[in-house]
Amino acid sequence: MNVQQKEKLFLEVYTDYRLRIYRICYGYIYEKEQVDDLFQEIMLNIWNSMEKFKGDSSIGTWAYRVAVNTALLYNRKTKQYKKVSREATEYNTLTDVGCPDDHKLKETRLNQLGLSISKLDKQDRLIISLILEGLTYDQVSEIVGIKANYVGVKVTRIKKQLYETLKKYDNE
Amino acid sequence: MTMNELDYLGKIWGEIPATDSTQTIAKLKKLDFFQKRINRLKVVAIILILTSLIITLSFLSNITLEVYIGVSIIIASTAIFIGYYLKNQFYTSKLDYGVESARFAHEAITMLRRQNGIFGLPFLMFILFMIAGANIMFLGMIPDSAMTPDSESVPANPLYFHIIFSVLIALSGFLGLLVRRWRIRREVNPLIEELSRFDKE
Repeated sequence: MNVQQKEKLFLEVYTDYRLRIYRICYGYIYEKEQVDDLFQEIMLNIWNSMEKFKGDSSIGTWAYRVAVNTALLYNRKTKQYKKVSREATEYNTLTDVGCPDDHKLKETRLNQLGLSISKLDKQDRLIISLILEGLTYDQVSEIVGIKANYVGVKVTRIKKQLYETLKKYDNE
Repeated sequence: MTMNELDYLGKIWGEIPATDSTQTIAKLKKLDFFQKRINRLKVVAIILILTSLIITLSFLSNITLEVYIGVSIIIASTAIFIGYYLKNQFYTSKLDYGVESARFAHEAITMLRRQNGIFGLPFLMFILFMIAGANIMFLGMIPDSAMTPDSESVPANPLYFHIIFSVLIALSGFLGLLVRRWRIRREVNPLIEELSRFDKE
């Protein structure tokens, strides 16, 4: 693979998966500076691994694998947040602004979701981020390397856990 | 809050904004170039060190066979240990990031365990060879007159030199081992434990 081909393939991944990968980082880490840091590390690994891409899977699956595997080895300490530390201002850039009340509600919910995910263990954080991205159990199975029905079992458990945590926020 | 609301959260999830990384490709290219340059510099540095060692040794006069043997043992054991260390060192770049996470985790664990293994028997052998090499070298460096009890040129028994240097090498090896074990406990083992969750499934 020459530099031009590498650059072309990278641009394809970057254009199509940049936002999705960024959201996986967000689900995995939650803290803004570290999310950016992990995102950069994933992009670097995608760039460095380009030559190893043989086309056995789709480029999307491959990119997700690199993202998930990079997150697994990400060496910064990921914290569990006990209180809402992200201020609402950080979400003022949500793409769908709509009416202000709706926007505020979305911000709050998203913040609570981020906090709830941060309380899960690392593997569950990655799986739920992929599910929230709209991936099927089969696709998640292909990325993570566990059986699809086991992904289903895990997702049900994770959702239940999230539901419990989010319910606590509602009662606060 | 209902379970259905999780689907709603899935929808707004897609609205999380990403940072602007328009310069990413340029940065990556720069890094590629930088990494290649560093690797070239390392090779040049190793060649320079070895050449200067050989030149220095060739200029020294009255070098006994013991010094040659001792220095050779030290250089050879260091080179072998560094080679073994580099071969088994955990480098994230050695991993294939494009495989399934379960396989990735398994490969990473294997590499991490192999790295931990460096500081077992191989490290002990390295220290023993260093001690042996240093002692043989001193045998050739300390003149015979020093061995005689009436000698005035060497105030202390040469045996003390052997003991002191042997203990110093062993002690520095032990300290290095302690630091490494501490890092393994603090950094490597928790990572292995986390990765094992993926590996087992």
